[in-house]
Amino acid sequence: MTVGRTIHEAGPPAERAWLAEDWWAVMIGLAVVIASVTTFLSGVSLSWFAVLPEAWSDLPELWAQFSRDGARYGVQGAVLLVVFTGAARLMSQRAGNFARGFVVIYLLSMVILTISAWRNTRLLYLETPIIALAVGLILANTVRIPAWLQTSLRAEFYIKVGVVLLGATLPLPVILQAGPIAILQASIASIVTFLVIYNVGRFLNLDRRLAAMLAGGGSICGLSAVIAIAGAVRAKREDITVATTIVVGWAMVMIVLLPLLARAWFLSTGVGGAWIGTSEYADAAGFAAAQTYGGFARDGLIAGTPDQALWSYTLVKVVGRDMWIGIWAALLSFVAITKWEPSGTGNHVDLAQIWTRFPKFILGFIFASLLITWAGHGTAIAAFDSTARPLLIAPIDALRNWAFTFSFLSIGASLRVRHLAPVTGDAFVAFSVGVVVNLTLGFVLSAVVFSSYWTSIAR
Amino acid sequence: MTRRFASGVRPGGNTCGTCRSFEADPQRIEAMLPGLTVLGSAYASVAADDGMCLRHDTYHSRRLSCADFAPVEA
Repeated sequence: MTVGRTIHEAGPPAERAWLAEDWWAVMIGLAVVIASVTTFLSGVSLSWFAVLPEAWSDLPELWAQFSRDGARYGVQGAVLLVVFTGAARLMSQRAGNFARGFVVIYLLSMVILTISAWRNTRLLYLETPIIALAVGLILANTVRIPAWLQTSLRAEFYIKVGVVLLGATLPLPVILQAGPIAILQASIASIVTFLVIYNVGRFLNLDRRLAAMLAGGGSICGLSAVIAIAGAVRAKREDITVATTIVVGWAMVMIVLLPLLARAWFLSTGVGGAWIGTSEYADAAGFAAAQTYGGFARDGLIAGTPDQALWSYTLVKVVGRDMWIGIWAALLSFVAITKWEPSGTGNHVDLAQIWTRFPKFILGFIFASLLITWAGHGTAIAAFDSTARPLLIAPIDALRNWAFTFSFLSIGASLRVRHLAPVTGDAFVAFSVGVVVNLTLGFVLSAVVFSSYWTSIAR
Repeated sequence: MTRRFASGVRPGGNTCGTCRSFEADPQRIEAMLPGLTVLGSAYASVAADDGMCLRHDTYHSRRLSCADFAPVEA
């Protein structure tokens, strides 16, 4: 059969990507961690290079700060520009476009971080993620974002780099201790939520593939699950766009709703982070919610530390939920081939996808933790707090803050509401039922069943 | 080794990966699926070697095959 060129033919073969985005996130993140460990063990620090706006009250104070640190921002921005553009180029993206866009993202992020460092902003509990999302959303929905800027709006890429860097702030024993609890909690919530969304969807006569994508998106890892399951079950394009719209919509609502609900119940940051990890859908959206919630603890509004919110979130979401995506995809692929479409030609269950689809940045997260644990091994707690924390970990954490801000800004700036697909009522209802079940189950597991673990995490 | 064009696809075999209707470029896939880049990525590991069949409008592995296979022109 001849396929019409103008309608059905794909474009010229893409220039081959050397490695997936996840591996670049691992390499960039670990390069930073290794550089920080090396300089620290040599008696110096990356702290000059990794700079963040400090708290300020008035313009003269801010001016003095930028006059003092201007060169540091310039060097930091130039290095990040080269690193991220290089990775983008090796992923077959247009380097020139990416570089132009990244400069804008870096400068906008500097403005966002400066606004969130203003003491009056802090009094209003306007955290960096909310400001970044708002700035991005306003831009995306009021002006036309040029193509070159769109190239550098890579929310997932930046958040993966940030996750690897976050691993360096979490000692390996904490991961080993809380990991099994995180996996148990996440598995219970994921399996129950998946079954609820899928069965409600089927009850409402949704196509099996759409029901499976919605179920995966609501229970495992948001759009990453949608795209993985779509590929595994041979989904229709229109169904993928429906699932995408619903997952994105609910994820954005949860960024605001989850911190507010957790704060209303005065959950500690560790418990709140675990709940967000159980009930938010996408990694980047969840980090926005968890970082926002952690910020509430800065002035003692809730118990715990800001870091605890991020740590418990990461353990439940990334370790507990994300890393099983390959197994879910293989399982659904098996069901699709043997039950849904047994007569398909050339179809077989590809077990290799369990590894192929594995989110490799999780390995970077664990390895970064291992490196820092090794570097700090044998150091007394007092000495660690006085030397290693400011000289070894603080620079990594500052760069993690930048990566997260790039991601939150990219989320907002990529979300053009008018471009999203229209959503069918049944698909929305099926997903929303799962949202309610997941929220309830996540709360019970985080704040009741495993509360003591999450309250005391890494203390 | 490439991510998109590797592992198990026979060169010249009648699989989707060598079909003219199959789109495997992550950038083009993201353009076809509005909203994907907000919280996801076609460049991610989870996307594996999947792509879009422009003939059937379905998203799947490049290793599948079907009766409508048409090779990419040289």
